[in-house]
Amino acid sequence: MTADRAIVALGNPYRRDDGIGPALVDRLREEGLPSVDCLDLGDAGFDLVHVVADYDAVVIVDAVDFGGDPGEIVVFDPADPATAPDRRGTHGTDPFELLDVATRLSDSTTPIRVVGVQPAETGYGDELSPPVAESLSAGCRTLSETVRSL
Amino acid sequence: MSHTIDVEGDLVTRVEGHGSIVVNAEDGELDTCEWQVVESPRYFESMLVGRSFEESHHVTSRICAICSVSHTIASLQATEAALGVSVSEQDRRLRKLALYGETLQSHVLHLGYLALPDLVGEKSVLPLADTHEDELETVIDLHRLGNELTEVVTGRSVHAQRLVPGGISQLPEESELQALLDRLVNSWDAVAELADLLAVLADELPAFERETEYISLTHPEEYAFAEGTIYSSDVGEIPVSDYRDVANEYVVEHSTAKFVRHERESYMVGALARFNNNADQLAPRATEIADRFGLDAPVHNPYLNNVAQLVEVAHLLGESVRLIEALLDDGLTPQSNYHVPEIDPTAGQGIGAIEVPRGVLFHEYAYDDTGEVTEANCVIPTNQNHGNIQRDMETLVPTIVDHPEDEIKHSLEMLVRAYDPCISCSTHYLDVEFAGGEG
Repeated sequence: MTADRAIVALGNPYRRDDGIGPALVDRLREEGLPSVDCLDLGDAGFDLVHVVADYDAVVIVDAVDFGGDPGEIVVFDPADPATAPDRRGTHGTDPFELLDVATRLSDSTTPIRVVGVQPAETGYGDELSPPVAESLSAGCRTLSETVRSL
Repeated sequence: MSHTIDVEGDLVTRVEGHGSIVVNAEDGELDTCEWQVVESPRYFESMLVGRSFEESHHVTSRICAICSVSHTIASLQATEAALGVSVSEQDRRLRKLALYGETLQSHVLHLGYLALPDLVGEKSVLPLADTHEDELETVIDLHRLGNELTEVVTGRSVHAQRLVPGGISQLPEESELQALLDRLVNSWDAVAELADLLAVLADELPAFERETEYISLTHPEEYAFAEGTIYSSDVGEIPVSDYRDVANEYVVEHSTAKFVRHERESYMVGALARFNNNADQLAPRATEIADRFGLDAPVHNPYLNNVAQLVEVAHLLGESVRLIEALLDDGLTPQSNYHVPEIDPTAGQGIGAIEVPRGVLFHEYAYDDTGEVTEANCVIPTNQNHGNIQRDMETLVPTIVDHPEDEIKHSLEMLVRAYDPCISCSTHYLDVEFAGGEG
């Protein structure tokens, strides 16, 4: 832990567009955002509990099926019931419940945002679908702006 | 989701998916009682074919996030056996430490996050943040400790990067190991708190017994995790080279996951199997906890797999202390960062066999003379337990078939969770369907 803010990727790069989070975090690492740690948790959702306790602000990036066009990006507050329930990540472990646990235990006021990218394909393979691959640059910009805004 | 069965059976790995319990009874007569696993094939073995020996372990680390280091180490063992690569004692110790860390965090996660809500009568961990705040913080702290063990050795708490064929690409600093040692030594109180909590709730674990075959690794010098020979409680030691004769996979109509059997209709792997086969080799503090719970091998109550996991938490903590002390006493042999052991690949076949949180895991690869995988087979612990869960249900349900429907559901869900199956977030995926009639 070297910074006070974190961008956290969830997802499996061997499930095609489910790997969009790790792919974005890889890019951002190369760009080097000041005061931001870029973490790839893979499918280890429970580790979010530790991340929320460790950082002053957290942005989670994951493939999220919200019914948009493939590659479309959405940003939402997981604590906001008006938007979050219909925008779950693609993982079985419910990150929203984990975030609830983390914030209740630590009385945390850590602001958390989710940057979701609409997947086209989550079958087996290690390449992003063309529309999701095309969203990489926009995804990096969105993540940078979101983490700076918190 | 798509339900596909690979009837050839050799190239399917299944570690995640949905499990359902179906019970159908009328007038107390049981008609249907099935543990249905409706997973889709994951094709990891197919994805390995054509990959270089330098990437196999990275691919398989993505089979599972909770036990990614386990798959990495089993994969490396298979690769190293196939290519005739040796690993130094120091690096074997470090890998073992990473495996202990991962198993520690996995057990704590299961006990605290999945099993504990069952014992306090909650549907999920969320209400416990209010009712068992201190206990949950202990769980999270121990989970973090397991992650730190793994991270110091492998560079990450999940999907290890520093473990490579032939060794480790970057060694931890001795100061990092010392800090870990301090953390471990100061964590005994947390283990005691977890034991206290489970002791209070242990009466909630059903008193159900069914003897079965227990299969694990065994090792003459230690409670086997990272290396050893297969051991069956029915027939004794079996060479790892015969693992396919142990894990006889077969297909049942009600499951897309293959079931497995050996000497009997089913067998059990995991913490309780390890305890039953190797209890004499537990660390002293682990034995103390086993004694406190009256756990005396052999134990035939599958619900007590939870307690066996707690016993192993104490064992892993004690063994991690011992390992780090040994590493620091000997001093780490210096090497450059980004160290990659030189390997000249030759065609060969090899097997990796290790104990991971949910039981014994086998990886077997064949490589050609360019170092590319030509064939792969992975046998996952959870799949080895499906048949035993089914047999447990068939024995248990007739004894409780006149109980209220909710009670039956609760008992069966607890039974499945006691095995700690690698079905992500079982709380949400495990549906009990009463197909009709009365419970």
